[in-house]
Amino acid sequence: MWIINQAGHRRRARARLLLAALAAALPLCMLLGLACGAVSLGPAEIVAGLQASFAGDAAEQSALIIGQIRLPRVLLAALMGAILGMSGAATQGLFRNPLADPSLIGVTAGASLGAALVIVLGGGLLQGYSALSAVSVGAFAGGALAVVFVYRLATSSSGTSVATMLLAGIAITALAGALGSLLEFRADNDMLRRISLWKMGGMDGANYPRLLVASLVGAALLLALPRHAGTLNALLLGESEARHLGIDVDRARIALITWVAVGVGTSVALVGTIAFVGLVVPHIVRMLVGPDHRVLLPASALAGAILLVVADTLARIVLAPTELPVGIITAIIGVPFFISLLRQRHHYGMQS
Amino acid sequence: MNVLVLDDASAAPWGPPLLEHISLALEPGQILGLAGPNGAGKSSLLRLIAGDIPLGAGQLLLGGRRHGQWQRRRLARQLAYLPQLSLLNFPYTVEEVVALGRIPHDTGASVDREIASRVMAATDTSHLRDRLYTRLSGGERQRVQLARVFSQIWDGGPGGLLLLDEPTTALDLSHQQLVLDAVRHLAAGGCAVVLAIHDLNLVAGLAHRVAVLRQGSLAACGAPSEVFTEQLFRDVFDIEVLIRPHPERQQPLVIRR
Repeated sequence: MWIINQAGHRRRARARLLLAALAAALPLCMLLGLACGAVSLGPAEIVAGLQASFAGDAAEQSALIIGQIRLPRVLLAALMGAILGMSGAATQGLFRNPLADPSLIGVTAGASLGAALVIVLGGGLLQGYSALSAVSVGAFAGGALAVVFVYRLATSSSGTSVATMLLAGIAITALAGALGSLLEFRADNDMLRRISLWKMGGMDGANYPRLLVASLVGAALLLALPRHAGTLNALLLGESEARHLGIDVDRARIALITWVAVGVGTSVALVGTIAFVGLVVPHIVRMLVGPDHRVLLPASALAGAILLVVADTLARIVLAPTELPVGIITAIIGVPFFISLLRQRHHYGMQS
Repeated sequence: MNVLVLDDASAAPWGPPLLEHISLALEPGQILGLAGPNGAGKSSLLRLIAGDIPLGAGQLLLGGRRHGQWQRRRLARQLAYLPQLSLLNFPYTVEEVVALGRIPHDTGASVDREIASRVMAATDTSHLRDRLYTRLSGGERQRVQLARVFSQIWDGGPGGLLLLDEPTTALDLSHQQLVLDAVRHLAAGGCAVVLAIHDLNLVAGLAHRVAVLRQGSLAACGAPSEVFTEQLFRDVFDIEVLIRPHPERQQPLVIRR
């Protein structure tokens, strides 16, 4: 009997191993992120810098670099990566489509439009710190509005159809894109540059107030979504089958969409659009340990955090002292990986 | 008490009537076969009972209660439904798919594992347990989905209701027999079963009663030996058949002319 059981055990053992490996790798990657940059720091300097900044004594240069620049940045990248990875896994489960992406429900396009609107209409009035915050608020509002709109479009008296939601998401994304282009058409050169930089995404706006917002949203999301793991597992069978397993599908769907919208909306608001983390990370994890969301959700969060921390570190050192937008790095890493997955998807039994 | 009562039930979820004036009652342990040509309303009737399409008029009682009066999870412990088609295209292992059937229960991991291994034995899927569902053949998938649905109400005792929509279409003869044996086993434990099958000789050998549907209403209902007449096949299926007693068993045999 135990011989027959082996492969199933192997999947479970691999799940434990993957979670442990990811949990161990994340702090290492974060330390690497603290060490690398325009100025390289050794382990001793990192420890001293961390101690100094926790003690509130930021006189030394290394303490300043660690405490004021790199630490908030690395933490923000980890949180955003975790949010995007877990939201992606939940979206793919909800839509029963391994190629779905959180941006499918319109949140990313809506947020981009919201941000562009603030940049263009706010124009010269907003400068520096207040401009960044206003753009973030505009992005979050735009993302939230787009999701509500998509959800309402897909809901009729007979319930909400996820297939219609997907199509509505595509339509709203196209509309928001067109309106965004219209704004860019009207914008002057400075605004255009700010819009396009913002769209590429980056951690360069990292500071402690932003980190606080990210931590609150991140903690709530990372605790809330795994509670729906069983529901997502059943949903893969189909909505009607999930209902016959005693699951309140409509309530679960609203909860999941709300959490994904809040998570992705916050991430777009704080660090701009970051491509492929929400799509590729859950995909890779599923390939390794299967679609059980009890493992998939936490593992996607950890892997997303690692990917974004590493990508942000690369973004800082590839053309140092100039910084690349991190969205470019994630796309450059993500796209070839994704294409290779598409080409070999029969190797791990994925159909659609 | 009756597990299922339909009293003059009608349903018209999209305007034109799908089901009209259906009256039926089912006791614990009874097996009801649904027969009828394509589009006669067999699947619609199963979906109506399962709660997938709303009741338009009349009454539908499960264990004496209407759908809305049931708590979702409680109902899922007693009512299991296998639809005709499965949408599952994620690479679960077979064992993981079967385990999903235990979601409404909180009997604990060891009971769940025990039941999973028994339903997998009953559907001859034990040897597939570590295979990926997406790599199975059609017949293997159908057996895995059956195992999942069985595990939902296995050992549930009297009061359970199992709805099967064409559970044997993709199965070879010996696996058909295996699944029918599992259905009999469940019925012997007090679970009522409603199943739609096109193979009328299979129905005649399995079901205590047969309901023949035509254009959304009941054309006949009763024991297979009473219901299956040459006239009925002429009227409902528009086909000429011979009805003869089975040479070895107590059941009518339908032979195409």
